[in-house]
Amino acid sequence: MTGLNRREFIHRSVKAGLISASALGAGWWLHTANPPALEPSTAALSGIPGFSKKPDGGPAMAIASGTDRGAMLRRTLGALGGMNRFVRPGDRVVIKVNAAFASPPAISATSHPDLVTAVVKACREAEAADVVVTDNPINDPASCFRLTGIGPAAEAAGGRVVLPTADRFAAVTLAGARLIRDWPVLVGPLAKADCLIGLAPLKDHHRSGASMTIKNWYGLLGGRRNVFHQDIHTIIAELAALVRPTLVILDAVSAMLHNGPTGGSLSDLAATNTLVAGIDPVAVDAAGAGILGRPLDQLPHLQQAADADLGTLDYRTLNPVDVP
Amino acid sequence: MRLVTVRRICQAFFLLLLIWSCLVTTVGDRWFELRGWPVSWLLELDPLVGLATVLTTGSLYKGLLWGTVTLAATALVGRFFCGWLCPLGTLQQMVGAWTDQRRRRRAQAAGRQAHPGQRIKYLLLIGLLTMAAIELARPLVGFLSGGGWIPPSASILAGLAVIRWGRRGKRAWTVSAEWTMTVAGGIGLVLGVLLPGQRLLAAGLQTGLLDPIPLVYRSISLVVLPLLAPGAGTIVVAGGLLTGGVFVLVLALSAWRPRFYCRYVCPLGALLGIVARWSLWRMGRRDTDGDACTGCGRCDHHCEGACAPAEQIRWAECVLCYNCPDDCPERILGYAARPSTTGEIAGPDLNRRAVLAAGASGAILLPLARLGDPLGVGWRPDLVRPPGALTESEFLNRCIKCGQCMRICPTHVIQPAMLEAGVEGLWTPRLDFRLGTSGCQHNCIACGHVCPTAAIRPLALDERMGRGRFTDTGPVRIGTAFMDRGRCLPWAMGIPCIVCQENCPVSPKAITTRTVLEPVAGLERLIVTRVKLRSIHLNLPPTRRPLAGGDYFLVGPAGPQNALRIAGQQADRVEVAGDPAMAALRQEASVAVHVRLQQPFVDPHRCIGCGVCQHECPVRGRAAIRVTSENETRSRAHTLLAGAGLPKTKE
Amino acid sequence: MTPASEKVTVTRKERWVGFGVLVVLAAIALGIYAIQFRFNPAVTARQVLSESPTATESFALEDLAPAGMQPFSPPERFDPDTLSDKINGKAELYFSASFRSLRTQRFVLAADSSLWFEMFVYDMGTARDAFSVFSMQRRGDLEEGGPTQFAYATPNGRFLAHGRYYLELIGAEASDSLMKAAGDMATAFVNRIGADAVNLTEMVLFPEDGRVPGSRSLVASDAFGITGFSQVFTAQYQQNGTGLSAYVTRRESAAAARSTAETVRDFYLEYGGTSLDGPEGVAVIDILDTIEVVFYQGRYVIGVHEAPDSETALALAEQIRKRLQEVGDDGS
Repeated sequence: MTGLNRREFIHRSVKAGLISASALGAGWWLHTANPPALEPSTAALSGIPGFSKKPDGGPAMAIASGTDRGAMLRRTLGALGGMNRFVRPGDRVVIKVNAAFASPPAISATSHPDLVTAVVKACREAEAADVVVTDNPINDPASCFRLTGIGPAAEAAGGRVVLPTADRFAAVTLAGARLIRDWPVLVGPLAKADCLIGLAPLKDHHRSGASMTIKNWYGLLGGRRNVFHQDIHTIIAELAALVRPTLVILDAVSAMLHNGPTGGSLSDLAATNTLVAGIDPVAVDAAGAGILGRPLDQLPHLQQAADADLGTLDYRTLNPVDVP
Repeated sequence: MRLVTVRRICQAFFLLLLIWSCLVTTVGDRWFELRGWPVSWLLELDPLVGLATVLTTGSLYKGLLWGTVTLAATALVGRFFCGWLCPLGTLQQMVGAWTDQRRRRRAQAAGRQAHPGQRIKYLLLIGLLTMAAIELARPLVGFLSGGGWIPPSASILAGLAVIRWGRRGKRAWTVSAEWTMTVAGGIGLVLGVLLPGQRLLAAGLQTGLLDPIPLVYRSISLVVLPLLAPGAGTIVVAGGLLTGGVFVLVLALSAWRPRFYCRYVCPLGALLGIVARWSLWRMGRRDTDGDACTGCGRCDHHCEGACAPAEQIRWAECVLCYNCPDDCPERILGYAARPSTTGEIAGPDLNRRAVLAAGASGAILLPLARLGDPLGVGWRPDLVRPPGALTESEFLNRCIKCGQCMRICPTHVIQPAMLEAGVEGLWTPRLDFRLGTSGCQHNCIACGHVCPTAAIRPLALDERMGRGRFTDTGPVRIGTAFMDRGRCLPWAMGIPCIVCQENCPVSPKAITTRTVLEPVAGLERLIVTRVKLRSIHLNLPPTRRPLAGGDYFLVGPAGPQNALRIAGQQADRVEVAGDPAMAALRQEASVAVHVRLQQPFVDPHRCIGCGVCQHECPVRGRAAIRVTSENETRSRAHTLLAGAGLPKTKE
Repeated sequence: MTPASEKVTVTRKERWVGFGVLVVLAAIALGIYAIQFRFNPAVTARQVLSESPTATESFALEDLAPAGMQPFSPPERFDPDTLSDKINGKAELYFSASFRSLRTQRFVLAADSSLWFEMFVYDMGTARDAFSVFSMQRRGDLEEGGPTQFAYATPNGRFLAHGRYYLELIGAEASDSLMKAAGDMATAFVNRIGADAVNLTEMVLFPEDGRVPGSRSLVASDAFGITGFSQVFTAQYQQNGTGLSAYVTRRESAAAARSTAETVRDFYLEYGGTSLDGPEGVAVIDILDTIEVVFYQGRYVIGVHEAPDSETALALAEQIRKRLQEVGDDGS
């Protein structure tokens, strides 16, 4: 074997040895004897941040009557101590509206743009750094925000619409829950927020009896959430435990009395001319049930939420401020 | 003993081992049944299985570690696997040798000359591996496009700059690095910034289509044994023409060109050919001066790899058949540490353009196949996978289409999919409740325990049945049975049946029944002409219904709650079991014949989707109760029931 | 082979390589042989099942315990080899009905540790056998009732047959609360097994008129003291103040049925009976002033035992024959 050949052989041996050894080494390193799980497990968050403020002795609830949503909102907020009580300068606010359907504001299936404008403006006046308006609608999100008028209203008033894109959901497991386990929730906008305001229209709901501020959190759920309709009251009660808002506002200026939650005709609506705002969603919904004419025993989820100490069912004990 | 003889013994050993492995793949503990026979060992030895699953899953499962032994040995000694082990190679070699017997020497030699087409297999390998690996580009694209368009553009510009101005005197790997930078930057820019490109990065395992070991396993298990094995005459297997046709074609082509598949198609051979590039020992000319060859060309006469041993040997093509040293009258061919005296072509003959084209073709196929989102909203509810099959995307990342699960299935309900699982799912396992001898046996875990890649998770029996420490999670569900009330005899036609309920193996049963008494159409308005003891004479129209069978009742004026069972039937009268006065039967009374039906219901909380009901349903064509993959355990997205199929929270 | 190969000389190196390869092959073969003794879980799982075919094995008896009831002893299991350890003396009765296994466990009322009962779950393999041991041990004159068609209660016990199982729940005392718990547990067992009640053809052949409620039973062997007269279903009747019984049994074939009918007839003739006139093919025998009737129809042997007179006996026998024609054979 000549010198050249020997050098070539050594050169080759090193390469062959390296390939051989790296095959074995990589195989050993990547080797696993454990079979994979049937479905990749996801690390679920243990809930979402809580946004309710510490009790400060201020009024818990206010009920205004009238037809001008902007004025009514100003009056109720005033009765509650002003938006400054809830939103501090520099706070990032998330407003969860009901933009479930791509239907016009007139049929009151979704949050009214006037109210959205008023709430966003109130947040801005309270010097909020960022006002996000979001929801995970049933129909196509972009068209829902556009056709309901919520999107344009929010943006004109200085808010920012955040659409529910896939990357904004994360799996959440609520301790002790039966349904909210490893379930995608729209946590993206909430992750860095300081305040959460719920904005819901008062509506009839065939499956659950009524759709009010707690049922409105359904719009934070992702995935094939309609399986929860098999157990609607449990999911609403679990939502009451999952989402602890800063403030909820129930728009009962024009309540949908039947054919909910989509409605579709003006004849489904009644001029109930009321706006309820408060820090206790159970109490606000109990008041809403009264306006809608639903006995509380037809709304088991409210009872379940109250039983779990998530709010007060007898809202009158909270001494709601009546704003004429 | 000559090495060629040893090689033939070795080939025969592994061919018999393969046939034995397929033959004993049947549940049982007798010596000719599964016992502990390592029936998937040859699949595990196949390094392409291991490599491709590493690319798709990032891990090397259990016995697939054997593949690294093959790879390591090939790096040292060359493609021994192809020439000495591979049963598909052995079969082709046998066919080739047999047809060569009738050929003239010149024709023999002509069929064994090196051909440019032999590079096709490398391109196929590159295409298949790109298909498997393309998702690995996701983090890269994410990283490059994380900062907007600047990082990828910078990458492109830097790469181009070095290519343009730093060319002189550089080595191959630096050139490749520059190109890699440029191309990666381009991909990052296009897919990450300019276009919503994540959809273009869809990976999947398709090596099983062409990988020779799964191919030969599948051909023997799904075609040869059902046709030829003793006692297998009743096994029904779907897709025989395609599965067997490919096998016959492979063998037939090897009659035309010996080892046609190995030379032109086989991606495993290509992989081993690339790995063997720097092997320590190799075949070649051993004459010191390089002039001892008389050019007789006999070395080509039995060359299996078509590697031109007398010229510049194409080392990547040599399958170590060791025929040439014996054929050479001058004794100048042999296996040694130094390269051939007349030089050699160590690696495959490829150019960058062909490689890029092959990679790009591989990369584009799956995004096309998945445009309809078959793993998401476009999932196929009729595709029921075996119990333990991973969630569909993970499953497709592992299944090599070897057919082991179909062979072991005691009821042969696992069948190879043709187009039922999409083009991508060709030859993957699906449950066909018509073809099997029964549904999926709910106490059987065989399929997962022969799957070499854990595409079907090897379940413990307790896990499968949801007992012991798996009581909380419940049994593994592969789907849910749905009643088709329009086809069900009791529901649609007033005929008693409930075969599905009786055969439901779940305890407590997942099919319950509700008993109803329904008037029989055409027999609802009859008039009693005479009552004599228990004989009721009436204007009974001709009917083929077995009124005296025990399920039919006569309802008189006293209402259905006082119905009397019909115990005998004649042309003009029926006998009732009971006192006619109880039902207020008297002359001129208006009566109706009712049938007692048990109407079946499925309880989705209990149904595991085993399909025994569907298999047993007397409506044989399209059964009145059918299983779809709704609510299958392996996919949370297919959950049917609120709160079911989710992990329990720890209180 | 090529001419060249005839003059091949095998080098020493090649010989060693060839030898090495053959050694490796032998090692692989040995390895495969050794490994095939380590059974695949797919095979062992099946063996686990075939060793304990009992559906009850899939759950513990204590899973069935109602609230307020807790295990008082560990669960025990007996097979045909060990059954005598548990129920010495009565074991033969179970063996004659193809006993498979017995599981027992004691349970006590949480509120009162003196109130306990023991639950016996006999797996008899088939519903026929389960019903056989149930009916042979049936105590007379007891209230019917329980979660299944074949169930009865004593002041301190609950007894029932369900599917292939025969259950006894025997209390330490005749206590209402204890027996209620026992009844709940029996119901839980029935619900857990979930199989439907079996309707044995023979059972439905007995006409309801005059039948003593709860009197239908199955005699596994040597019915009426006749050797070899096995698997006989009987029912008691009361007609005009006198009692008589009817019986039905099924044989493998019509020929076997005929031979059995002849055995019964010959038995009575041998013990002093006199043959009376009767319809074609029906043996009517007067023995000690009672009438025996026996005949066969298809695979079935039908008879009436200790009837007061031949009219009554023949009428009852005819009813059974007619009903057999109606319902046909269930084929089970």
